[in-house]
Amino acid sequence: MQSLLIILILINLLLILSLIFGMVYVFKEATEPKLRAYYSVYLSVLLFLYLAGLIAAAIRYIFVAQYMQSPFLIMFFVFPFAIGNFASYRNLRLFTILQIAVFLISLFYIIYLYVNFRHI
Amino acid sequence: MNIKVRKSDMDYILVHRETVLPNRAAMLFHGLTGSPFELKKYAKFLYDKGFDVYCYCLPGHGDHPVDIYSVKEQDWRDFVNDRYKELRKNYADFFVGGLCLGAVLALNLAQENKDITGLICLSTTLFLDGWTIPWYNFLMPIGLYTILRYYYTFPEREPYGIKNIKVRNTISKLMSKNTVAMDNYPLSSIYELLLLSKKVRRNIKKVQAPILLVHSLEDDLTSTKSAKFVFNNISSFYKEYMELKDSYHLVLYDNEKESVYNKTLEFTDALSYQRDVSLKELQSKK
Repeated sequence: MQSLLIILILINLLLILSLIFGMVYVFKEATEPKLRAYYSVYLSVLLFLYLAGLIAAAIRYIFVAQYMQSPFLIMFFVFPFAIGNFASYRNLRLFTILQIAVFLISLFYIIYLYVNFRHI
Repeated sequence: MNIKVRKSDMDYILVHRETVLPNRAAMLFHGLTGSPFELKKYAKFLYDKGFDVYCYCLPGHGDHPVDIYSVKEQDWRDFVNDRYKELRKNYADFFVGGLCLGAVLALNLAQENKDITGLICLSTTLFLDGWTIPWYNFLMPIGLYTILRYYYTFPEREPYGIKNIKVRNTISKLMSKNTVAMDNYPLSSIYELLLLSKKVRRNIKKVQAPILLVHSLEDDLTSTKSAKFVFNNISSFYKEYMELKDSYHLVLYDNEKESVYNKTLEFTDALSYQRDVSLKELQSKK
């Protein structure tokens, strides 16, 4: 469980940094479409791992009878889809910042879980 | 006989100005990230056979490449509906058709309007399951339903939907200049196409207009599953399905384009009330 949380923390951190880097340097009109394509595939892989990690952690917490944590993890799982649903190209920057903020909150939450897990 | 070509906004319109009687017309739509350029020769062919032909540039296409990111499938549907309402009253026989996204829009229009003389659906794209869909396609749902869809793009790559190498090279050169089509598919536009396809599939039984479906066995973007789905589920009393063996997605430019042209004419002639009038009129003017 601890190793799963560490992996989730790393993926989460990488996701935040990659999204910021992408916004600032990669996703520009002047960038080669191929580079943009591969970078977005890389982001999708990270997001896929992050979502899979959240689900795995939520299930694991249910198995160890710590039911309070699972709803929060599932909430973080749902957030990217909810934000995606309301996002529009016109307000993309705003929604991307919102997404980064959610990733940050989830990062802090998973760190909190990791720290507390060690004390159980 | 006069040809009126309006190029300023990329629409390609060919109208016989001096006709006495209401004639027959075809309204054609291009594919996703394409332009009316891909219908040009086909339109000219139909024009020579007595049709007035209207090839409109769909919203989000033809102007600034960024426009396609903010376009919604509702915009495409409204645009097609408006053009149809504008033109339908002027003609006795009115055909609607298209390639790829254009074919899906034609089907959608036929679900809402029962007075279309015939539908011409070329490489109908209801499922994205062709053989050039990249290996990382399994990640698509992650991209489609999150903000990544505005970042994710599929670059256009060989074979560009064309089997004929000579034509492929020409198209590839033109595409690199962004003059005939965009050099990548933004995922947001694929998302809108898939939303539209889903709607069309759900209401497929509402299609009653006679239909000609043309699809290539080796289509690189969408397999024959799409055309077969339409053929097996529509309520049309008259339906024809032509399967091509030596083409890819852009059937109007590939090895069997002549067969597609001739089949279209055969199909439209069989349905046109005005065919004899149009031909006589054309012959008398020549």
